[in-house]
Amino acid sequence: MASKGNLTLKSCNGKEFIVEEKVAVMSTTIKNMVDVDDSFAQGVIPIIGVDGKILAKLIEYCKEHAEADEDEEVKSEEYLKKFDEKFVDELNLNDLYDLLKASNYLEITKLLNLLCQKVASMIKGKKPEEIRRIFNIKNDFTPEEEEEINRQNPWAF
Amino acid sequence: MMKRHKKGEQLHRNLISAQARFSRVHERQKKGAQMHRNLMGGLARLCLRGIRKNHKKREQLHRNLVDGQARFSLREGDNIAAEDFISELPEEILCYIASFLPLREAARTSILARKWRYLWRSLLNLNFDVTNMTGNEYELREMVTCSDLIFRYYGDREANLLQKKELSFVMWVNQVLELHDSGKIKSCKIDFPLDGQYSDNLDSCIQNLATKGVEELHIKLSGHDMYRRCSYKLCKFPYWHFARVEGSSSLKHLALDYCAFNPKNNFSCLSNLISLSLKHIDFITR
Repeated sequence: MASKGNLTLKSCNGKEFIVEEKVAVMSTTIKNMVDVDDSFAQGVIPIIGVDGKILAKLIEYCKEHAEADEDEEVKSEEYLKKFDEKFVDELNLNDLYDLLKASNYLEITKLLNLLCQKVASMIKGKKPEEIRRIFNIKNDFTPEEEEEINRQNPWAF
Repeated sequence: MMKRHKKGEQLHRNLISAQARFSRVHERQKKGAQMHRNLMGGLARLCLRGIRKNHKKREQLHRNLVDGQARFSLREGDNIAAEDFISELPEEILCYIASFLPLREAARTSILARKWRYLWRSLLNLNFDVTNMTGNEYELREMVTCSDLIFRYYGDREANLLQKKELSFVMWVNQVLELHDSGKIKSCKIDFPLDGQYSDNLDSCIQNLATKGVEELHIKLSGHDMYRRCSYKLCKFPYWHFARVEGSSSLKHLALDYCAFNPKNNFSCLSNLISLSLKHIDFITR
């Protein structure tokens, strides 16, 4: 049972995390739950479809940002930028996908932004072949279709 | 000679097997690094021997090597996917990712796979400029020179060339807007030197954007000194399209540069405007 001002989040594989409310409500989805229904604030909030490992990552991110929002002197913009960079650099692709899905579902806009930017930076300036290789995307076009796409947007290629 | 040939072949074989190993997932970082050093050494050795007969083979080898290096550098940090999970992400996320790419590169993702084909067509932010159209800024510089020559010598050849470029830009914008197939465009930027003869094109473009509830518009129709052309007239900004949209106008931010603009005194059709920036404007009175 979380003390006042704290919330308990439970991952889909049963791991519980006690976090400060200001950290948890970085997620608009959780904020709405707490606002609408008081029982969530006292009890356990189940985070569907997010496992303990990913939830821990989410909390790590939200904690830094919530603290920075509260006290800019301790955690400056510069500090946050470095934290963000390190945060995304340490992710492997699978965690990146899981975090993308989770931050989308939990509506943690700042994090979703950051992660999408990261993926975009991995695509930027690369040839389609390279992009496919990085993300293991299977080219399921027939040669005719490929030609059609090239014909439709010759300016892009 | 023979010996070298064999060595080249051996190297090539090593390379192929190295690549095969690379394409298996993870670990082997150290081994990879060693292999990479070997490959680099191999390339250096080959480059030192400027023997013609080996030329083709060397070229092939070099291609393989570059390819191998590309894969190697991707492998660093073991950030490579074993399965295509990215295409399984919800479409809204993929589209959001594409929105962080320049328009040109976003459009290029259509060739990746079926799931990606139409993603870019629902981008919320569109950026029309020379770099996105052609992939380089050189074209614009060329246009500046052209326009300068027209001004000074009235050269027909330059005038034709310039008009051709202007037309292809206008057609490109139209084409992209026609392909765009979601009901919403959030922001749009048009940055290209166009004069009054393209008023109709701008008109249809703005009409399209207004129906899609555009919130932010940046229109800059000059990148060079074409203002000096004596018969020069500015493109009219057709603000009235925002009055025709049902309900209140979506437009919140408007920036115009090198346009003709004559809003009704009370700005009634731009009722939601928060910011307005006007530069080099012809306030037409008619």
